[in-house]
Amino acid sequence: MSFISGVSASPGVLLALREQLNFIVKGKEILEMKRDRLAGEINRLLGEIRIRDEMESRLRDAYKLLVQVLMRKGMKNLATAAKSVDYMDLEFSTEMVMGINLVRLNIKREIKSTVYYDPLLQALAKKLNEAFRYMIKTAEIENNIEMLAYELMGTARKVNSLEKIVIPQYRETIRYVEERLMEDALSEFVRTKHIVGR
Amino acid sequence: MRSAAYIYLITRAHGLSTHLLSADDFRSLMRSRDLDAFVEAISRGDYAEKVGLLPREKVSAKELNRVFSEIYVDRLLYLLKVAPQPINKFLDAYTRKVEVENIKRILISKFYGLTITQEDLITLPRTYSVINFQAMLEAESIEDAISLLVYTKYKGVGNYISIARESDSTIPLEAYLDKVYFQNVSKYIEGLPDKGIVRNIIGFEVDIRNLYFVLAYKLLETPSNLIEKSIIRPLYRLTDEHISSIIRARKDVLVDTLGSTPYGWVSNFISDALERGSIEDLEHKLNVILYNFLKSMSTRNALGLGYVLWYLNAIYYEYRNLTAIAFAKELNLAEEEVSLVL
Repeated sequence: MSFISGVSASPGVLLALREQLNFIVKGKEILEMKRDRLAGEINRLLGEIRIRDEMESRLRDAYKLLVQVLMRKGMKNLATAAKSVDYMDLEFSTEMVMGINLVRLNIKREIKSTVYYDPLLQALAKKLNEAFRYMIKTAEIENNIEMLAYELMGTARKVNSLEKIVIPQYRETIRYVEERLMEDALSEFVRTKHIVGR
Repeated sequence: MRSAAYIYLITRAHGLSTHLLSADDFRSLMRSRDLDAFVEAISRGDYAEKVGLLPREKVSAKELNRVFSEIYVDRLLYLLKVAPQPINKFLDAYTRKVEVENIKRILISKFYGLTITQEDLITLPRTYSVINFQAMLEAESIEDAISLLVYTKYKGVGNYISIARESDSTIPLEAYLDKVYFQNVSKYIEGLPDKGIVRNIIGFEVDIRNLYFVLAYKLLETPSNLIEKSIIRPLYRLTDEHISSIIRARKDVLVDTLGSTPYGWVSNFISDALERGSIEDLEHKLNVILYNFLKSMSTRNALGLGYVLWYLNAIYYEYRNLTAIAFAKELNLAEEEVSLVL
């Protein structure tokens, strides 16, 4: 192992290695805690992502009604009504969870749906408005899950590499240095005995 | 004794009604493979010339919709040419719905500060309307557009701008225009030969329209002050008490409340739509009720204005149905979905 081969066996190095190992083990524990927290957060959001089904069903309903209105009112009427739709105001903010900026989308101003004289257009606006609200919530949750999952992947990889590679290597190195020091001490003892015997 | 001109008008209406597409025609159009097949099937009769002139690459549901609306307007205004007085005045007022529709489109656009062009309007013959639509289209603001209506019967619409702005809705403006339209139609009923039948038809139309708006707005939870503004008066069989009781009623008791009005029988047809809160179903069912009523009136008054009014509505339904099928074919919709609209 290259890690071991470059290590000089001395009590100072052994002390430093032990300190480093302690630090790495603590770091691994913190990373494990982060991993568990991230997994917990993802689990919570996975529960919320069920609204995607609701969003899709509302979008399907809105689309069905849109087609019905298009067939009844024709393109010109629908286009004029569509042009009159006001913008929906969204507030974009972030919330820090374990070092990750999670997105929060808040609707600051709703689209008014009581604008139209034609009840069919009003019903369509209402359905689309509801579908948009669900789309915004779904986008927020999916984006946050993606970011958390990406971070979780990186954290799990770090924990894994510490647990499976770095820490065993350190332990091996410490064992090697301890054996070398033991061997050196033994040979020193033998040599001293030999000199005293002469 | 009926005048020769009156008999000629009725005869023309009977003759023109033979140009209308039958239920079988609609069924076969619905079964068209695609939009091209639909265009091929429709390229006969009254539609042959205008649909035939469309270049193949320009054929789309939107273009067809424009062509169908032109043919609808041609048909609508044709009877005016042969109608004697005082029927002519009445029919002129009755056909003004297209003029009102154009004014509405311009005012909605101006109200929301949108761009609107001649293309967005229903094409009307220059001699038909005294309203300068071009100037209205070019008006800088809604006030400027309304100022161009000052010498017309729609001049009062200006009084509703502030209410419309307060409620951020065009409901007061559009409802006012509809009121003027129906009041104008009612004004000319008195001198007509079949005034009893005509009053019955127009009254039924107003009541059904009011029922649709009140019920639909109730389902949409529209504020009651806006619902009240959408009502067209004078009412026919409905009374102010009936309207108020429907406005005040909870959504789950709308059917029962409707049952206590002279239109209780209508609830048998629309109760399902009301329970599901389906506006599209409600609109469709009430349209079917209106059409069937007009059809029965045309049978009872086959040699009178009842038939003429049915014909004027039948051409509108034909225009609507063809537009629906054209869009359905363009969007590859199933036959069942189209039949919900027809």
